[in-house]
Amino acid sequence: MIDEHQDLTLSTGKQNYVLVADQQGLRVLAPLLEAIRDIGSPYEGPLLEEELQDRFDHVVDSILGRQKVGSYLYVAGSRRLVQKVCRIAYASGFTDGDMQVKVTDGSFRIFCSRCYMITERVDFSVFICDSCGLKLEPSTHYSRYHDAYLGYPVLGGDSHA
Amino acid sequence: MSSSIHEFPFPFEENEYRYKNNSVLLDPPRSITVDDRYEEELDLKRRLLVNHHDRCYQSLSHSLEAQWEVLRLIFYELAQYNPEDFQLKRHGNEWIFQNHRLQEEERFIFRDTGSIELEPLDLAGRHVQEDLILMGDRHGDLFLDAGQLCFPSNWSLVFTLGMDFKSIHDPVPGIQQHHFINKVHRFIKRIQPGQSWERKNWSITIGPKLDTHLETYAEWGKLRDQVTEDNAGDKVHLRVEVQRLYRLPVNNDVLFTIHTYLLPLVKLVTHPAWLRQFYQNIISLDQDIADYKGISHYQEAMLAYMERWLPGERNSQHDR
Ligand code: HEM
Repeated sequence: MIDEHQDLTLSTGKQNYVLVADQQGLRVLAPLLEAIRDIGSPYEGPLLEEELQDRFDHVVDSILGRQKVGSYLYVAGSRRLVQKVCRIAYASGFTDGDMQVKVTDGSFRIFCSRCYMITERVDFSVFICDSCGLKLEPSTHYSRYHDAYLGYPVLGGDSHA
Repeated sequence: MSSSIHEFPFPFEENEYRYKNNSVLLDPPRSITVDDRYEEELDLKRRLLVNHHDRCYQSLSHSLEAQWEVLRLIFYELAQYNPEDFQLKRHGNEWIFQNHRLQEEERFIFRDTGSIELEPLDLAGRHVQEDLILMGDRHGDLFLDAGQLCFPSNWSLVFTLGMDFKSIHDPVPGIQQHHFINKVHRFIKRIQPGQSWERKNWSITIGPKLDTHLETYAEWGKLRDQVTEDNAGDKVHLRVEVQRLYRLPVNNDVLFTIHTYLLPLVKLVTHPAWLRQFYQNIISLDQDIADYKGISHYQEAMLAYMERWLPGERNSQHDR
């Protein structure tokens, strides 16, 4: 599963980089952009949501759609933006191994998969459910009905998957 | 699970596993099957429903009409295809359903929710081996409106209630590639009223355990680390879900039924053609799918066990 709370790092040896962000995420992408320029690799973007406005989906879709094998995607911004861009990316043939994402906004509701208790968290790190004591690993599996992300059980040092 | 290996729904057709819409149209359009595990599985199902009702049954209130249509479908089908075991009598709106296998009788007024103690889907599900999931067809999408789920392959009905079809599948690695899940969604949307389609899905379970809820993962998940080459034959079970999609003619919603079968490796190895094909699927499985299905923990042990009946197979794999 894609890790969205780890810091972005430069993945070297790629044919091309595509960067997508919103205003907030742009700050996270800035050092990365510098690093890409330093190595002299081709890149496209940053495609900025605020700049492209209602053309955003279309532009992201067409740019991701024409990427060849060896392209690498960085996305940073609100959860909503990251989810939207990931969906487009997956549909264009990107896999979790072809991208890194970073979610920058507020707190998240995590649903305990054993006792259903929902816990507010500020990041996606592993935590212990206050109500039943299970060690939970927050995932990107989101329920609009519960407005929460599923927390998967962690056994010992190991995760559910 | 049927006790006879000949009735086991072996799911593989190729030597390498890839997501595929392997659905076939059924004629007649069946949604359930009664087999010789009926009593045993219904006993387990009902105990789970009594002891953990929330975990095994969930519904949204607007699903009631469609639930009645499911109940009618299930009771009719049982009576029509297994008339020696099940009977349905109707006197106007008063229905009497007799289950001779369990020596039970249900009397109720059709579409009168006050005449039954359980919701219609919850009642219907207590007479079949299948898990029953009701997908409401609204605003061009399918939503999980209700379900009775006693034998899930590691997912939670409570978390999934109200969710749309594509979001339900978000945890499945690579399912969005090549628009796979979008295509499946379009396929389901086009299912005609009264049609039933069947497909098989597979995974692996440690021990003969049908009730692998995500909620109880901490109890059964740890067994994955106990598999060795020597015990793999008894512990590792090929788990197959025969899934059917039926479009309800009146409410236009989709009933998704899941009949789960388990076959221990020790029995699978007695069927040489299946053994070879299963082995090839497991050895070539993508890492992310092996992780998702929980197989990575014991993949090597089960391969080594199967190789006892397939000498030289691994080297011939490498040569390919
Ligand atoms: C409307 C009916 C359906 C429902 C309610 C449903 C529900 C689910 C659920 C809950 C999961 C487990 C997700 C998790 O790990 O949390 C799943 C897995 C999956 N589904 Fe569906 N599904 C449906 C129809 C289909 C169809 C028609 C296909 C393909 C043609 C399909 C393909 C898959 C695949 C490939 C997996 C991964 C299974 C595994 O590796 O064990 N589903 N589905």
